[in-house]
Amino acid sequence: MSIVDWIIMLGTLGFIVAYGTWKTRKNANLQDYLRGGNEMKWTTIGLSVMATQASAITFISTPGQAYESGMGFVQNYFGLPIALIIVSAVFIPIYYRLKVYTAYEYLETRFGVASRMLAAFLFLVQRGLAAGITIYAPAIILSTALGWNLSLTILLIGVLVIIYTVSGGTKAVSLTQKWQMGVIMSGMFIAFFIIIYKLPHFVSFGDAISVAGIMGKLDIVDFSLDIDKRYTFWTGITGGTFLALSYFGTDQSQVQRYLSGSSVYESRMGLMFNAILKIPMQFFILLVGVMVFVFFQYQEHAVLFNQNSIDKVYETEYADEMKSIEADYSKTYQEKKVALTTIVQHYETNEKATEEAIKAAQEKETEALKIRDKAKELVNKAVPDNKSKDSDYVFLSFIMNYLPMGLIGLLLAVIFSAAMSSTSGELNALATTTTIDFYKRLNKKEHSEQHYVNTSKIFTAGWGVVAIAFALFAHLVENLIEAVNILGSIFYGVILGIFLIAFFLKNVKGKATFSAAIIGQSVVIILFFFGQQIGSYLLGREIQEIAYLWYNVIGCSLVVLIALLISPFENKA
Amino acid sequence: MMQCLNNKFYEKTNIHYVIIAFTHYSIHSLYHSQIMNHQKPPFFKNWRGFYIFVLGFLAFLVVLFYLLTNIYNQ
Repeated sequence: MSIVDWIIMLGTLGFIVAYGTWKTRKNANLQDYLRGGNEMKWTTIGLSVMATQASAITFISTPGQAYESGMGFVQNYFGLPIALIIVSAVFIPIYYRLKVYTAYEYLETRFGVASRMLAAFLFLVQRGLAAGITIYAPAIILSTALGWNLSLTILLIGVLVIIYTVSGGTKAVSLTQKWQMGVIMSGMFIAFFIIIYKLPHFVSFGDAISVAGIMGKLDIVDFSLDIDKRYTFWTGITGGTFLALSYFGTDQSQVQRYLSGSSVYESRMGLMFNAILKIPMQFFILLVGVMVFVFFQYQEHAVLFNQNSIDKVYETEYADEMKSIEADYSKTYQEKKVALTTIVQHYETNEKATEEAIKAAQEKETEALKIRDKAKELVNKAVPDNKSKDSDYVFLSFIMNYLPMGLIGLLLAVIFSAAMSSTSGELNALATTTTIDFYKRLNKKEHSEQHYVNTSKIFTAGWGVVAIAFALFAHLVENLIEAVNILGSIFYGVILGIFLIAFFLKNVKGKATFSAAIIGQSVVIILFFFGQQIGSYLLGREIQEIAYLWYNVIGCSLVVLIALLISPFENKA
Repeated sequence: MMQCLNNKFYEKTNIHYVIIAFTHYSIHSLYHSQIMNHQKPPFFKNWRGFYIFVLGFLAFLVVLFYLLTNIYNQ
């Protein structure tokens, strides 16, 4: 990386941190510190909500996912606008009316302190772990690809975030997120146009789209009811709605973003901004990945994008095997390139030649995928402690090897900005929940506003240290990222169920809800461990797994149904 | 004397009443106009219209993606 790239990257990050810290250095009271003084306009809220959701992994992994599996992942977001409409119409007015700092405060007014504590505790566990992963995941990829020290990368992200989040609280988080989103989107647009520019002169943008379609990367919508498929229209519209409803309606890291608005109008507009733009944005990031795929159809590359893993294999007894795999891949690549060039050059003139070339290109692509899988298996065999996903390195590999000087620094600033924006939102929410739902609620002594502001700052720094520590030791736990994702899916549905009862079923009281939550949670955990066997038995055929999005639907539905069944008995008693 | 005191009392209570009513009205109107406002969304008569527009846009995107899938699926 050149000195210019270093200056651009560190300058961008340094400016955002200094700006956020300076601009929001004065916080007179808790309202200022935790709710940003309720001064935010909808544009800031909208960008802040978007930045909190979009972590660095969104910008590293999503293009890689499109490279490997196409654009079907966008279906995961189909439920998001529906969920945001429900949050905007139902949740926001209630939160504003009760003037709450956290979503969990509302639960106490409906069900009592036990439900509030339970939900707040589940949030702290889940989000506390996630904050560590938000730092660790991009740090491990950046350090592997760029040869940086992992611990220093983690510390760089963590310490920068702690500085401005502790100093300025919610206002600092929202203001910096606005700038970070600006950097992120500018960087992604520039990268997109550079990819198009770098395609061979005989491949236009239209040709690139056609090539992507031929290679099966433009299968965006799938209406099939196949339970084994992870992303279909139906999983997106049902599971995606429940997941987004739970995330935006009950997760404090998001609730805090829109409660910083100056009115219901500003908060609603901030959410509607996301309801309209989130799917196109996700589509665009996936399209960047698809364009990178097309670029690599005409640009020879290694069989795996994580060069580090290939180098490690060459240090073992499997070096010859890797060499042979690389030779096979190179041969297949050349044959595929010939076929794809034929398609582009004879698309409108020679139908027969085009058809034959399409068939050949598709066959060679299947072959190439098999060779890549073989290479991945070999890496796992030769380097057992290697847990990285090669698709995570696709976009980074493109950035480092094909972008001009200066833009590399900008794109790395994009990745760091995304990591920092989501981490700051998480730390801010964790500190708020700890202060409001535990410290202030359980502390019977009256304290001054300044005391609570200082306490919140200590909790913010404390959670920051926890997140950094967790990120530093994350590599010791196997499949950690997967574990955190599963943890989230298991609990989200049940928490959402509790909130939906609170909002919509006025006759259901605290005990029925609490019992339903315990039963529902137990069933979800049983399904997690034995779901495959139960599903196979019920459907009469072998199924692979229950897609994790369905846990949100199952957990939520169970809590609501069981509470409705128990409720008459509680009311009688 | 009593009449005078009574008058003063009524004057005072009236003033208090006015102040309380005004304060109540101000808080109420502030609450409803600024915090719990019913401010309309841009370009629409009410929020329901805006929500229908968002759902329509979602439907448009799904149809667009479906067409793209079919056009480029070989």
